[in-house]
Amino acid sequence: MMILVGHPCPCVLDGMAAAFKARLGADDVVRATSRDECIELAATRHPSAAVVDVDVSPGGELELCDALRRHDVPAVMVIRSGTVNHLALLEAGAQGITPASDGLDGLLIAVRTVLQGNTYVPPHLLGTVLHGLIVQRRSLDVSAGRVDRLSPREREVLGLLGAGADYREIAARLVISPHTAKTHIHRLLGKLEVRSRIEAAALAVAHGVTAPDLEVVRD
Amino acid sequence: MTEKTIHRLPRRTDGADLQRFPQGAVLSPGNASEAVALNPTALALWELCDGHTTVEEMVAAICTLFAIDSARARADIETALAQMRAVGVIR
Repeated sequence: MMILVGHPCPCVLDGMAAAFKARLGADDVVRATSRDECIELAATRHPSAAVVDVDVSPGGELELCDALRRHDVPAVMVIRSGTVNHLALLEAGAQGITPASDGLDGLLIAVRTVLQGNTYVPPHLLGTVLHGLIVQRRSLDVSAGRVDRLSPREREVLGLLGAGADYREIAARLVISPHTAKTHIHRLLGKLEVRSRIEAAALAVAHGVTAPDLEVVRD
Repeated sequence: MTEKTIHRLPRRTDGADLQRFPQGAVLSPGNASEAVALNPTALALWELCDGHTTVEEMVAAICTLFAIDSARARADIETALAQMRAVGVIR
């Protein structure tokens, strides 16, 4: 079993490597001190799991989780209080999270759990993470109701916004005037209760509203 | 509010004393009932019992997080809530 560890400090990496070999029976531990190194080792060495401190990729934790997931490497992210959105890390692909304050014992529990194919959230964070999921789901349900209120044409416009089209492209795709396209956009922003086309586009993606088939679109 | 509605929107009772431990907690009800040990998932459920969160929302969140079967999650959650209700730490 090989484990990838990521931390900006080589001394910490040495300690983690020794602990994983002694207490988890890891045969090999590969070490990375940067995000790029983590991703490269995940792609080339195919470790059984990655244990990565968020400080190895400050501001880029979510992208790192996503990259590790794309390389099929289950990741345990070592977090610090107040610096990271726990739920966002899990949604980005982390299979486990553990605060640095939980120490080595907490980390080993997390890694064992993830190596068994399960998700790990420390007991003291579980309620917070579940509450975050529930709040997020409620928000999605509310916005789904608003999407349902759109007319068929507005739904098509929303799909095109979600695909990145501006009002000129929407007009061309739907064979309508730019003025009419702007009117549809203005109305759908009101119905969705969002402030910008970017927010509307995000809702389109979240609710799977896709660009229409040109052949069947006619005003 | 009907009995069924109350049970679908469980709420923590006042006066319970919570002592946290690394792998769960012990909850002492404010009444004469004996203290109850909660594992991490039961503790999280108790924390979610705010009178606004439905059992269905709890089931969905647990299923999303742990990728487990909905029927199994619902059964486990209903059992845990029933036990908590029996000792008086939720209503």
